[in-house]
Amino acid sequence: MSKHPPSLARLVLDILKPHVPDLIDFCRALSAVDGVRRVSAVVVEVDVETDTVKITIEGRDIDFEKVREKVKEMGAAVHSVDEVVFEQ
Amino acid sequence: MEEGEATFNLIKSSVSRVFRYSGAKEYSRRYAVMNAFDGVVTILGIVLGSTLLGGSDPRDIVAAGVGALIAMGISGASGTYMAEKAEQERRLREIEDAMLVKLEDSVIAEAREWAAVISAAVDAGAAVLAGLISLAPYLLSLLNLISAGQAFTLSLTLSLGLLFSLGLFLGRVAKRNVIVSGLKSLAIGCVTILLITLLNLVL
Repeated sequence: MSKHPPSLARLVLDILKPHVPDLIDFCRALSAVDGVRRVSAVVVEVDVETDTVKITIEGRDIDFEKVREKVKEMGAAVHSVDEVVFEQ
Repeated sequence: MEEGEATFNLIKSSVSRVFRYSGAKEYSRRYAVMNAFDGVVTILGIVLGSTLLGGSDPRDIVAAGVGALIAMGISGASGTYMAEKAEQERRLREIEDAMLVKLEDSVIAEAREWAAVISAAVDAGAAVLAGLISLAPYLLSLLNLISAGQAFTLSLTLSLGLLFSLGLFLGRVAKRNVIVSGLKSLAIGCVTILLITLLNLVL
């Protein structure tokens, strides 16, 4: 009986981003990453130049490195990974 | 046909993204109006100056006008590019300081670089286009389609009409009385005409 390697199905990230690109553009860009099926975001704090947001990414076989690259490309930074779910 | 439309939509969405990410939309609008003004008033000055002071040969006016517009286009594009790039870089540094990360490979840095290029193109394009519209009657006159006298009247009318339209546009941007705004801008053209006529009386 072959067993599939566990796949990354859910990530909750704490992200610091500038006001632009706005949250809609930001989440749209993340949803284009391989394996991502659903992206939701909640603004935690708004500062003079930045927003702190909690992003929940769900899907199948999410490539975390690609997610991190996309976050960087959009001018933001991953502050912490707050929740991870792997599925068989 | 469909390919052309797709390319146009791609350019439109790219420019819109550059404006959203860089905040340069209102700067470009400002540059466009300011330099269209410059283009029209410069051509108005050349047309009036040379006609009132005696040299009304359409060939001379077209040569002087096109020369002035080329110079204005180059000066506008280079000046705006450098000024806008400096402003955009300063703004990027401020965001980097707040974020505590380098943003050089991000879409924000890319959009801010493009914002300087687009502002420069808008700046030069607006001046040259508006100037060419004012100069168009003399180009027609060169082709012997209208006389030099008709070209003078038509050019003057077009210049004043353009100034009035720019005023209307500014009034719409400011959400105030567009007619008053149009008349104010028309007054600038009339002051130019008045000063050049006075110069003609002195010389």
